[in-house]
Amino acid sequence: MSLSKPFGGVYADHGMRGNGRQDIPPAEMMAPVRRAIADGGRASPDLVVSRGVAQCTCSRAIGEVPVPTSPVLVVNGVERQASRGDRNLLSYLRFDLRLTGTKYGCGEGLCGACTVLVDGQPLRSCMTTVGAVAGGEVTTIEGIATHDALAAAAAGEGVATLDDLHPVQRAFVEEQAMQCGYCIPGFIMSTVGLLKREPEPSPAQVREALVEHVCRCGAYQRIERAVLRAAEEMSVRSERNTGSEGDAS
Amino acid sequence: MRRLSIVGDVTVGFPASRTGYGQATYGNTAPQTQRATWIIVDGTGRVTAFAGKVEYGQNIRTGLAVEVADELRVSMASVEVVLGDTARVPWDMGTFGSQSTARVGWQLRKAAATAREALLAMAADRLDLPVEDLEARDGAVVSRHDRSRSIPYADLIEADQEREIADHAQVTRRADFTQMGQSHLRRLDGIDRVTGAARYSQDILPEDVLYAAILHPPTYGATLRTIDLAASEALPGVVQVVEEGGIFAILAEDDETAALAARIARLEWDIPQGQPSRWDMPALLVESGQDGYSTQEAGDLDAGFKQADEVIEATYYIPYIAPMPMEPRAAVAAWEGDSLTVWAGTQRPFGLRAELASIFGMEESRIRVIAPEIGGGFGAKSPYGLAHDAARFAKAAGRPVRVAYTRAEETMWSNFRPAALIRIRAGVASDGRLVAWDSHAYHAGERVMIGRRGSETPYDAGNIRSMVYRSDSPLPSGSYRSLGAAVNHFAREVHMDDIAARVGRDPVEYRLAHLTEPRFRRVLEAAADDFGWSGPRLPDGRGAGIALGIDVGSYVATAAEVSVNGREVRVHRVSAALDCGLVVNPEGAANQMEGAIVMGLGGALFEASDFEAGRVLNPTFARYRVPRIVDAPRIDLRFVGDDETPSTGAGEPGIVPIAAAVSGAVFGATGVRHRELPIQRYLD
Ligand code: FES
Ligand code: FES
Repeated sequence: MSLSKPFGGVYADHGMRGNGRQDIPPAEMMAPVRRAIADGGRASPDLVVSRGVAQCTCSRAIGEVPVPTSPVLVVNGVERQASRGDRNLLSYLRFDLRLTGTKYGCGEGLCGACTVLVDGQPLRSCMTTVGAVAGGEVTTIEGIATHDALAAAAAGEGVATLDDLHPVQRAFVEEQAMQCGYCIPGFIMSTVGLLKREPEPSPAQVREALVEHVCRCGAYQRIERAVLRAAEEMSVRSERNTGSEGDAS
Repeated sequence: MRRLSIVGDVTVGFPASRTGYGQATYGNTAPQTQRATWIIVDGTGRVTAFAGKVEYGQNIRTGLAVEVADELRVSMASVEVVLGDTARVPWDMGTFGSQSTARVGWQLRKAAATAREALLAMAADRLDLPVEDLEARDGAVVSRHDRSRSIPYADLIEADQEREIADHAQVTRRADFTQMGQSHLRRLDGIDRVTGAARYSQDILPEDVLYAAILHPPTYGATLRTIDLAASEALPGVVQVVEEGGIFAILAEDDETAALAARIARLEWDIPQGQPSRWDMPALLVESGQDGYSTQEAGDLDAGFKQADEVIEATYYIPYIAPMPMEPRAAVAAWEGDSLTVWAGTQRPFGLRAELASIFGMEESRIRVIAPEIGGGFGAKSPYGLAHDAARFAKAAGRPVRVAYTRAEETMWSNFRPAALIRIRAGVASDGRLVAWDSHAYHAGERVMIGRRGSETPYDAGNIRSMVYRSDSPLPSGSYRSLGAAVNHFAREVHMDDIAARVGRDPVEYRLAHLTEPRFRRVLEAAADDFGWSGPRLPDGRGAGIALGIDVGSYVATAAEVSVNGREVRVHRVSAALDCGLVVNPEGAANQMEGAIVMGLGGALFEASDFEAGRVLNPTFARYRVPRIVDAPRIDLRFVGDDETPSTGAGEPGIVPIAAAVSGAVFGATGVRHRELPIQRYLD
């Protein structure tokens, strides 16, 4: 028996509707979301999932979801064949692949804890299915630093050091941009996406890019500093790389 | 492996019985054994410290590691801290009340000092040198006169040995710390948290685990009338439907199947009529107030009011708010024969173990509770009933079972910071001096304890009465960062601002005129200085506010600058000064302070849990606004405590003055005094 499920993940709590929203997020907060709708999501591709406002710029994930029977996708560089296309992507990553670094925080696209990269773009995994990203490349927090030592540490052999990390991860550690850390993988994934399209973001751009993430511990000031630090380190590094390539030629 | 174990009494860690809070609330837990191992130095020189606390974001692992490292003269990297596992750590009542952490830290320091002295004595024997000529450094014992004569700890430990924590062990003086108090202490677990390696309770997935979905009623107090689970049971992947302890749940091979089966289950409920709703709260709090308890009494109130030239009276109202920790609760239970292991993100693993023992009528020794990393708790994750459910379901299923709350379940089926209504009457003499202070605080909840914290005024009004009552609570009320203290402070500090304004005095100057305690004066002056305090009105229509407070023994003052634009208040910057005595881990303490300020801004500006007829109307982020990065102000902090004063908490005090400071700043900007929270609801 197969039951078609409503899009949006089974975790969305539809049974709990109240009588009207008392606290609509401020205009300023929602502005990036609106802009994203206006320009088809090109400006801020990671700000696309606000329930009832916009869905996903990735056309694969909009509307009726095709349900390939056993979709193939690449997760952190490894090709995977999922058994069902209608499997929620967050559940698939956490429970089927046991990549538990990607977190559940709300199940309705409003906290960012579940953010992963799909073909390099940040996406709320709780809001989509495996089928919707079939053929795509999914990167989770476990997969952004490709250093071997990290993989070894993850497998319980040896200890990872700061040098093994992705510059964004390192910046979060250096700035102590975390308390409980539960929200942090999501923030890091969105930051990686942000710095890819905007290598030198202003503080305002950082805030705009991360507005749909919640850090209940309130480490925002440090998170902002960490993102700016990562941007700086990455641009220094890429300059250095360009420089040395120049030397070599 | 050979090891030197330091053992000692376990009953050091629970909160001061002065408040009685922990005892009264969680009195069902008692140590099974009075002694436990606190520190092990093993044959490789590695140090393991054990504490019954849990890590839920307060960075306690690093804080304890640095204390142990400093005492033992080893690097922080060679210290491992084991927390929250009842099979491995000393009994502990629970991780709440910031004081308790300081006590456990102190016990570990004594244990580490004992270990250091034991190692020195062993080395003295071996090197045939007097102990006075030796010192411990970098994980070895070294001769003070001849550096070449040294023995690493690892080599000193030739056989298993056990030592009792020595009361006279020489705990290191502040001046001799090398790591403690350093501002760039890196978190021990930082890397794990940025790589996804850190395992939270939601991440515990034993082989063969079943995913549970609980069939919760739609409202509080509802009773089940009819139930039809035929469709749910027929769903492929559903393994079992269980009813345990009056709770129905679906157990399935995967999470989505369980959730879907729960959604198609047909349940009809009888919902009790006449449950109070949010708008009934102010009246309900006062009318149901009982067990009045006086937390402060001085002078003669009647005489005070007689002297008064003016009486200033006002009512303050603070609604319920939801803790909304980032990680909703999750618990996994696995039985092996008649032994039970439970993973649960609870602040009180030993308390949970005791509860499980009584539910299943078994010895505590056959139950192991492990608290993995916890994604935030803010004091609210002490009750952890879903772990009972997980254990019952797992027993029924004969397989490990995972119960994990959704966001809405987490909100509705945990607990809220109690709503409160506070009435204050103050008498002011003709010269502006306070001569009478009469405060009556009604806090929702079963325990009057909730409202006591922070209900005393530090201002010298001569004639004082402060009463606290407990009132009916339609929502489950429970602990929360600094609990009633934040609420009591809001009322008192806004009232002080109000009086100052009415008698034409500056809020800082007026407070100072009524403060004798030097620690209060110091934090207030520091925050005002750093902020550049010049009064409530600022250029460009902005406003400034300031407030002070005390919580868990720490003194704090906070100033805030805001602008008001329609129904939005923007907090631009905050300066705060904290005196929490000796600061062990400045970065950690700063992080906690910043977090408390941001969290407090939510309650000050827009958080309120709405409910109607037994239903919570805004249990998710879609309807419950929490502070986001755009809401976070620039925060400047200063620690003004004295290094010789023992450490007190840094995680909670930050929240106590912030709402009043914001209210004062909004007054500065708009001329309107806000006595109800959240402020944005009352802007037009
Ligand atoms: S869990 Fe996906 S956005 Fe919150
Ligand atoms: S660090 Fe706890 S939620 Fe962000």
